[in-house]
Amino acid sequence: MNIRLFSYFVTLIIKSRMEYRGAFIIGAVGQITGYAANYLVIWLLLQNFDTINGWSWTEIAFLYSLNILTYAIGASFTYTPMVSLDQTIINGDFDKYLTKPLSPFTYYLANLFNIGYIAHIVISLLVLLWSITQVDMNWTAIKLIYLVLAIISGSFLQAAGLVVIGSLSFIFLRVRYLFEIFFKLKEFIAYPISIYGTLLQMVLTWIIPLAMINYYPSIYLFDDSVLTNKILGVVALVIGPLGFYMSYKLWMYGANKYQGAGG
Amino acid sequence: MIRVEGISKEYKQFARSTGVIGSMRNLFSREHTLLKAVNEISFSIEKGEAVGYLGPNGAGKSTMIKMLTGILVPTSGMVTVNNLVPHKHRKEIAKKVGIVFGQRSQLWWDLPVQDSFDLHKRIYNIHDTDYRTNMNIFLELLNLKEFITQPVRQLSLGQRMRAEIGLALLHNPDILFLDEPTIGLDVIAKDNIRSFIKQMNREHKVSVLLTTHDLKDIEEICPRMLIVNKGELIFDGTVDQLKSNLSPGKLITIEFESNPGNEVELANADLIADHGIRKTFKIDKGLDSAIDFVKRVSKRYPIKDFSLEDSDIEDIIRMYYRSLDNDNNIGIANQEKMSVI
Ligand SMILES: Nc1ncnc2c1ncn2[C@@H]1O[C@H](COP(=O)(O)OP(=O)(O)OP(=O)(O)O)[C@@H](O)[C@H]1O
Ligand SMILES: [Mg+2]
Repeated sequence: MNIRLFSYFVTLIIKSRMEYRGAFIIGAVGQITGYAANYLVIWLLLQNFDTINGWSWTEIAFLYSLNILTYAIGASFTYTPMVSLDQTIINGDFDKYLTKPLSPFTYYLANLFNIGYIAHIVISLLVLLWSITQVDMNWTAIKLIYLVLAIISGSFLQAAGLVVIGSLSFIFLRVRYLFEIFFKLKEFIAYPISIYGTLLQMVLTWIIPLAMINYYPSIYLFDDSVLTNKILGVVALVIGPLGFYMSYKLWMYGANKYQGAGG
Repeated sequence: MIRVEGISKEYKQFARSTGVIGSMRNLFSREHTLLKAVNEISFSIEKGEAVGYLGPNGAGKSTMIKMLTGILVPTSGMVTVNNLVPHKHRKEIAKKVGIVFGQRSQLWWDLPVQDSFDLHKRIYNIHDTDYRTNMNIFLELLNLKEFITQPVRQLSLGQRMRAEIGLALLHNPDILFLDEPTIGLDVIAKDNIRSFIKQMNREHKVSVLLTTHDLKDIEEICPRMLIVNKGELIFDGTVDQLKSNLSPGKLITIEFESNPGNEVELANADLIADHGIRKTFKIDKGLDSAIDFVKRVSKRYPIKDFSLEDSDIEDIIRMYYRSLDNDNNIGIANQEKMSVI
């Protein structure tokens, strides 16, 4: 699938969503208020404590926004398709993705692209840009390029998480609760992981490397004089695309196991 | 064009428990039973043929179509479509075949019909001129012009099915697979669709394989039919062959005073449906012997009532399915008798 075809899908999706404009707008407003409330909670918290584990309000706002922004980008492509995959398989609607001259993976993602994340993207991007101007550090061109790459890699990693769980639908059919576990785990990275015990930090770095999404890019940017920060900061740039590629392979493996539904 | 050799498909059916604990258990327990939906079927279809695929519910028709289109991987056996193994060459096969599932839609629900056609034009990389030629055919023959600008969700089932069929043929496929294309349609809509499919087959040389429960579909469109039951192919031939194979007989349904059991052995007659006190027999000779037959039966077993029918093809198939369903010796004996292959 090329970019032009993909954007045609997106055009059709926007057109369909606009058939239900009201619902779309209400949803967007709801999301914006939801996330604004989350920011407010952190801000209020920091009114009392000033810093969390040495992180100021603006640094946490940066860390937090990086998580939401990359999630919103990754989820635009993968959330709806992966969460509805089990139902699609059970209904037998997956058939049609195997009967087009396209990769079933990209066709399936394109067909269910979700433009609803635009609200997340706008709000987290605004807060991110604002925090960039507030954080106490020198922004160089290299650091800005690093940030862009970190956003791309983080988006891939967020998407990979959803794709991995989605792939399991091919084997276990119902995986809703695994998504719930995934979202619970992701709550850990709303804060700098240095506030947790060593074991949890290890898990979030090496086993389920969610900290690669925002924590390591942040400490790389805020303090790249420490060697480990530097190394893990670079690892964070490659782990996203790599993880996504592996999740894609897993998904395709699952798709070949597809048994269909009666009919 | 299509070659199928000794193809089988087994489904794993998992026993699933419900609830949180149940679903956790499902994660680890892989207990399953195997269900043979298609059992060692072989046939081949040449270019330009139109073939009907017939069988009772659960006979494995949809499963066969899904294997031919690459959706499902056969458990064993060999299948090629245009000399390609479908599930290994899904993209190439997709360019060569069109698929219509009567129970599913390829159209974008909230958008005008036109948009789905435009999308397919891009997906299949269809040339502008080919696109226009085909659209003109569909606008006229399928009367798409009546509703092409309407959102799909506003279409009647008949309109939607016409759009589905057009969409499946947009990229000029060599083969058209249709899984129950006339399901749920009224008589006029069925007629339209049949004559369109027939025309595409006769004039544009599109090979057609369609499954249906409506014999008229087959009589109209398909000179040849395959009948399957419980995963096995039990008839491969023309509609006329099937008729001459079966219909010189008469069907007599007799209602007995009390059930004589299924041991009623009578000369010149086959028991083809058994519902206790009501049994249906097929007899081979003319009307005279039908009356003789009833007389003979009534001497041995008290009879309440009987009815005589000319076996028209629908009835034969109906009776035939029913007798297969009974799953007794008679059914099997009959099944062997049926096979012309
Ligand atoms: N995905 C599946 N998993 C398990 N069993 C299945 C699956 N799909 C079909 N079956 C079983 O395989 C058998 C054949 O199903 P299939 O859908 O091919 O029948 P069919 O001939 O198309 O029937 P119908 O006329 O009702 O559409 C049935 O017994 C069905 O229950
Ligand atoms: Mg079916």
